[in-house]
Amino acid sequence: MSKIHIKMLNEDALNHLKKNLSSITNKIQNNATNDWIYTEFPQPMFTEKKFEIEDFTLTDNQNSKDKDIDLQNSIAIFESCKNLPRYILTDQCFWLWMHFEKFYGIVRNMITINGTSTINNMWMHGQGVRRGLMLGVLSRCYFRVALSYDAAAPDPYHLTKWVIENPLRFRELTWRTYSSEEHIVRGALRGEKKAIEENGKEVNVYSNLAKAISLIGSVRLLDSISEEDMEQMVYEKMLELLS
Amino acid sequence: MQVNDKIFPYPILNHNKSISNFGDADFIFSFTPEETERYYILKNAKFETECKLINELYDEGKIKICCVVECSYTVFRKTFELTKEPHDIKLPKSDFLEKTYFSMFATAKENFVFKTDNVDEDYANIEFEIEKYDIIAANDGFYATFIHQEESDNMAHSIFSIVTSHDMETGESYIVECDTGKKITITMSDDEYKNYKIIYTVPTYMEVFFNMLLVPALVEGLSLCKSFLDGDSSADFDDIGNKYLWFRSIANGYKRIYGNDLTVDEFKKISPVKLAQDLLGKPLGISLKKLVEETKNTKEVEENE
Repeated sequence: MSKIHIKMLNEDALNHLKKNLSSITNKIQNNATNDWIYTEFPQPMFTEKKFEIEDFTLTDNQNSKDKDIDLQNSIAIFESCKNLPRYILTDQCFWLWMHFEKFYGIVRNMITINGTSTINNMWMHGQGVRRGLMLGVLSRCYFRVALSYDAAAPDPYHLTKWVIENPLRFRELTWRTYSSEEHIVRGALRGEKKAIEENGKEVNVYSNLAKAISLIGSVRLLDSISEEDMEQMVYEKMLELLS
Repeated sequence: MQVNDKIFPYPILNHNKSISNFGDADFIFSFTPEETERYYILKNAKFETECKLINELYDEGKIKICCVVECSYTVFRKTFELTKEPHDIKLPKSDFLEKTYFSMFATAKENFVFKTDNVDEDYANIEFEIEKYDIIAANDGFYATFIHQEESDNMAHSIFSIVTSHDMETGESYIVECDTGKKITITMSDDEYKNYKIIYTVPTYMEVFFNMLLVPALVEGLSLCKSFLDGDSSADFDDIGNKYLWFRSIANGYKRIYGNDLTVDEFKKISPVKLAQDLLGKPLGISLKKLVEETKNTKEVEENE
């Protein structure tokens, strides 16, 4: 693959999208290809930026049902985009370029579009920066890898597989600001995994677990907790919650 | 991360003395800020305190000091250890956008018990059990603002976003919104938008369009900025720029026109109607002149027919 310049959705196009969400949602629902965007949106719709990424492809995955494809797509996004400046990676306009132009058909198939709320929350990151990124159709793929990548392990994606197998294991953690510290997320995921493997069955206790971690942070500084200690704390809490 | 006025089940040293339990003792986050094109540097970063207990615990290796850097816009959060010896913390600016908070904490490296008489009377000479990672000193620090904006010499392009709403009726009044995005957003119906696109490309009418649409929209925006300043005596241009992102282009535009920096006092005094016209190139005179010429040309054509 060759290098390509990234693009971002222009401010006028973003405002047009916000003002006409209902009719644009209908158009996305009714059009398998994106030819219509060039007449619907103010042009030019995108601006090419100086930043380059290794070009990449994604595999079509209806409703993200195939977990292996989900994993491979997530890794492809992460590997290609990981060197971009963080302020670009967290900008909705970068992801909207991917949604509307680069991977329109694939993104359209990845989730069921129920109405404007799907487009607002999962295409436009409408629920604020953190929730938006962790819910966004492609940005969540990126962050599932970025926050679980374990460089020291023989398979650095072993925790990513664990996350994609059941995204609830990760989602509740990522609503919380402490999840920006990658070592906290990795430690927590290791602790979850160890407890579930030992317990033999999985129960959805992840909301309570995320709250329990917040509680640990009520007088302690979560940021200073080592990855190993976080793993042990979460492991013990998980066993308690599962019992 | 900030502790603000959070209450702990044991005494803590807070740099904010009004909520500290250690009297007048400081917990200083010492550094000199430096910037290069790519990096924000906390030069010679270290901690300082005259608090006897904190110094003893640090020297005994029972606590460590760290700086937490957090930016909610880029979901960035990272910790850097501080010591009594100065060292540089070099941070890529590309990791941050808008407000980024820098705070400092002392946390326990192990479980221990302490007792001191250098605290508020209520806590004096009581044994407190501290657990590993407990916060025992805090400084809520400061914030720095990071902007990655591509400068544009075109005032209209850097301030306004003009869009259509399919839900608006033809003839319906256009809407001006100043705090919903990076620019002042002007929304109009499909028909009006279609006509605007035609008029905007005709040189004779461009300034007419500026007068009809952009000047009133900018007057509205500047008036909001003035009200914001009037409502908060401690507010400055950074605060206005954080609320109304497009305002950041105003200061640059002002300097281009007047040759000097816009000050808060000057901004409070200047009429929004005058400033809006000046920033947009005084379009009234130009448009009237062009229209008069256009009228003369039309008359001449009619007379010669």
